[in-house]
Amino acid sequence: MSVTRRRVLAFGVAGAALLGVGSGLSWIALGYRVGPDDVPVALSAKEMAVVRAIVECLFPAEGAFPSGLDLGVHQRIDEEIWSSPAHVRSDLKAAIQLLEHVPPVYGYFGRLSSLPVEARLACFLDLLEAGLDPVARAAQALKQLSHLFYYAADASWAAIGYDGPWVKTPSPSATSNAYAEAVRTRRQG
Amino acid sequence: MITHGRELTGDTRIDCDVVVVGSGCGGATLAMRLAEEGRDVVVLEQGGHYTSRDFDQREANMLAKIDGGRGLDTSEDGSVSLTYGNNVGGASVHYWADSYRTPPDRLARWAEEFGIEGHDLAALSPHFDRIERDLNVHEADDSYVNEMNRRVLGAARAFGWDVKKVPQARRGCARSGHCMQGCAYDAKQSQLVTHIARADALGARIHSDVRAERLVWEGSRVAALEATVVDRGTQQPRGTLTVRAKQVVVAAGGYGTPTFLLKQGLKERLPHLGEHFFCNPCPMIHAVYDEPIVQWRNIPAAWGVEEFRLARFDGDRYVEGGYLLMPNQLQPAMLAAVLPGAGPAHRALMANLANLGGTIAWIDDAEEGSIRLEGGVRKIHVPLDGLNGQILRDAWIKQCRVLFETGAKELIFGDAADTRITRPDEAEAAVASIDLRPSRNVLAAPHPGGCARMGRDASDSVVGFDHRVHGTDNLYVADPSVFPTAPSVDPSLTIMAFSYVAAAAVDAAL
Ligand SMILES: Cc1cc2nc3c(=O)[nH]c(=O)nc-3n(C[C@H](O)[C@H](O)[C@H](O)COP(=O)(O)OP(=O)(O)OC[C@H]3O[C@@H](n4cnc5c(N)ncnc54)[C@H](O)[C@@H]3O)c2cc1C
Repeated sequence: MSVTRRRVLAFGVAGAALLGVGSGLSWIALGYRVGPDDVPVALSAKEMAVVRAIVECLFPAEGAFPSGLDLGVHQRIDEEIWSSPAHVRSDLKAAIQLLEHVPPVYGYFGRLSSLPVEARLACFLDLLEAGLDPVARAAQALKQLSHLFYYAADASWAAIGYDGPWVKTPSPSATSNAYAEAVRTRRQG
Repeated sequence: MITHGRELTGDTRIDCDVVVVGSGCGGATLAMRLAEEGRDVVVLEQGGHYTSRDFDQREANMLAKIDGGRGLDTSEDGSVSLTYGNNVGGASVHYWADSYRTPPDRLARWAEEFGIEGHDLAALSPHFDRIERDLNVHEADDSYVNEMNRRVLGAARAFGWDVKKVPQARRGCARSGHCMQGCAYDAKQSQLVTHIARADALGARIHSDVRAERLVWEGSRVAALEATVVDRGTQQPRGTLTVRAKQVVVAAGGYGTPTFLLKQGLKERLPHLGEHFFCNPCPMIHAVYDEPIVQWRNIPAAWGVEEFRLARFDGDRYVEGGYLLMPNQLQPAMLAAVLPGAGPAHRALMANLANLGGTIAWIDDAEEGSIRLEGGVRKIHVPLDGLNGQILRDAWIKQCRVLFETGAKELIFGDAADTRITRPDEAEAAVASIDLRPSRNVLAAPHPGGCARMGRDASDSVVGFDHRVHGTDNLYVADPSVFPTAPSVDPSLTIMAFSYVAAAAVDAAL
C-alpha cells in the first residue's frame, strides 16, 4: 500500500498502527523479524516488527518499570488495530510505514526498526517533534497507543505508585475475546 | 426488554409507534417519556449493552466497550480527539455527571438571535425540576472534594473569581474516581440506570448492537428504517432488522446524528445539515507538585470556575473568557497518552504520578466547524484559529494563574513542543508561543452538536421547533445536534430537557 500524503493526513492523532491482512504467520518477512511468541493478526510481520522496535526503545526494563515487550504492548496494539474500523486500520498502517522509512530524512542512517535502540529512541523523539505534520502525527499516534497500553497493564502500576482499580477482577471486552480466538486460530494453523 | 444483537438471528421485522436511533441522554429521555405515555417504543443502539458488572475500571477494557471509536477517533486534521459514547446509555455512561441547567442568558440568546420557540426558561424549567429529581442532582458535600478540587477552589477564591459547586447526578458515590470507565456501583445516575431502566420497565424494546443504516421513503414520509445487527466481538454484520414505525427519531448524538442524516442524502434539501458544528474543545494543563495530589480518586469536578463562562468584549475586541474551568481527572493510562514526549523524561513524569494534577477548560465555541462525508467516511472540521484560538489562549493563561496559585511547581502544556514553565511571569510568552496548527496539541471534544440546528425553515436550519426535520412528515431529531450554539455549560441536562419537548411533539403527532 502506498503512503500517499492524503492517506497519511487522514489518520487520527490518537490512532496508530497498521494492517497487513493476509501476511500469514511468517516470523521473517523481507528481513523483518517478529518475536517467537508474537502472533500478528492485523499487522503484517513487517509492521509487527516495526511496532515491536518502537515498544522496545520506549519501554526498556528499568528498576520497577517492566519492559514493554514483556507486557506485550506490541501485541495489544495489533489487537487494537484488528478491532478498529477498516479506514482507521489502513490509516494506521500508513503511519507505521511512514515512521519506518522516514528516518533518513531526519539524518538517521537506516530504517527505524534497524537502528540501534538508543538511536531509535532519539529518532522517535525527533519524529514526535517533526515540523512535517504527517510525520509528527504518525509518531504521536504510535506514542499515544503504546503509552496507553503500557500504563493500562497492571504490571506497570507499582512503578508509578498507582493503587489500581477497586474492582479486582478484569472483564475483557468482546473484541478482546474475539481477538484471542483469532490468535489461537493463527497459532494452530 | 433489552435485547442483545447476539439474540437476533437472520432478518427480523418489527412494527411500533416510534423508533428511536440512539440511547444516550437524547434518545433515552425521549423513549422513557413516550413509554410513560403508553406508546410502543423501539430503541436501536449500535453499541453494546453493559451493566455495572462489566465496568471493571480497567482503562483499556472500558475504552473498547463504551467509547466511540474506542477512544481513538479524531477530527480530520487531528486538531481534536472526539470523545463520545457507543453503548446503551451513550456518553452518559462515561461522563463526569456535572449537571447544569442551561443558563437563562443562553436560552434568551437562542430565542433572540436564532428565534427559537418553545424552549425558553418557562418551558424547560418543569422538565429540569423533574430531571433533577430523577437523577438525584445535588451539590456534593466536602467528603467528595479531592485535593485537586480543594486547591482549585482555594486559588479561585483568592482571586475573587466566581467558583461554585458543580451539581452532581449521583446516588451513594463510592469515590473510586472511575466515572470515565463506567460506574461499577450504579451510583452515577447515567441514562443506563435512570431513563433506560425506566423505559425498559415501561415496556420499551431496546436493541443493542444494532446500527441504523437507511431510511426507506414513501414521498416525504419515512416508511421503514433498515438496520444492521452487529457482532460485538468481530464488529461484522450478523443480520438485519427492519422497523416500521409511525414516527422516527434520530438521537444518535452530536457526531452520529449528522453522520446518519448525511448518509440519507439529505444535504441537498437541507443545506444547513452538517454545518454550525460545535464541540467545546478542551485545553488542559498538567501541574507538578511537591506533594501528593492523587488526581485519580474521588469525583472529578466538585467545584467549577464560572467566572469566565461568557466571553467578554470591549467593543469588537475580545478581552477574556468563553469557557468553564475545572479541576481535571485522568486515570494513569490516559494521562500517560496525553503527557508530552516519550522515553526517560516521560517515564520520570509517570514515576511522579501521585504528585501530578491539572485543570481543564471547555471552550464555548465561537467559530463553527462542520461535518461532511467523504467516500462514506465522516470528516469533522474544528477550527482552532480566529476567536476560538483567542479563547483557547485565554483559557491557558487563566489555568496557569490558578495552577501556580495552587502551589504547582511546574506546568506542562502537553503540546508537541513540550512547553513547560515554572514561574507565573512566564505564562504570557509561553501561551503566545503555542502552535495552534492541527495535531500540535491534545484537545478533547466531549460536547458535540449543532449540525441539525433548529429554526424556522430549511433556509436557516434542519429541524423546526417541534424537532421535525423540515420537509418530512415523521422524521425528528432529539439530541444536541438541534442546538443553535453550545449551551456554555456541560450539555446533558439541556439535551434531556429538549428531549422532553421533542417527546411531546412526537406524541402529539401519533
Ligand atoms: C469524557 C466525557 C465526560 C463528560 N462529562 C459530562 C458531564 O459531566 N456533564 C455533562 O452534562 N456532559 C458531559 N459530557 C457530555 C455528555 O455525556 C454528552 O453530551 C451526552 O451524554 C450526549 O448525549 P446524546 O444523547 O446527545 O449522545 P450520545 O450519548 O453520544 O448517544 C448517542 C448514541 O447513539 C448511538 N448511535 C450513533 N449512531 C447510531 C446508529 N447509526 N445506529 C444506532 N445507534 C447509533 C451511539 O452509539 C450512542 O450511544 C461528557 C462527555 C464525555 C465524552
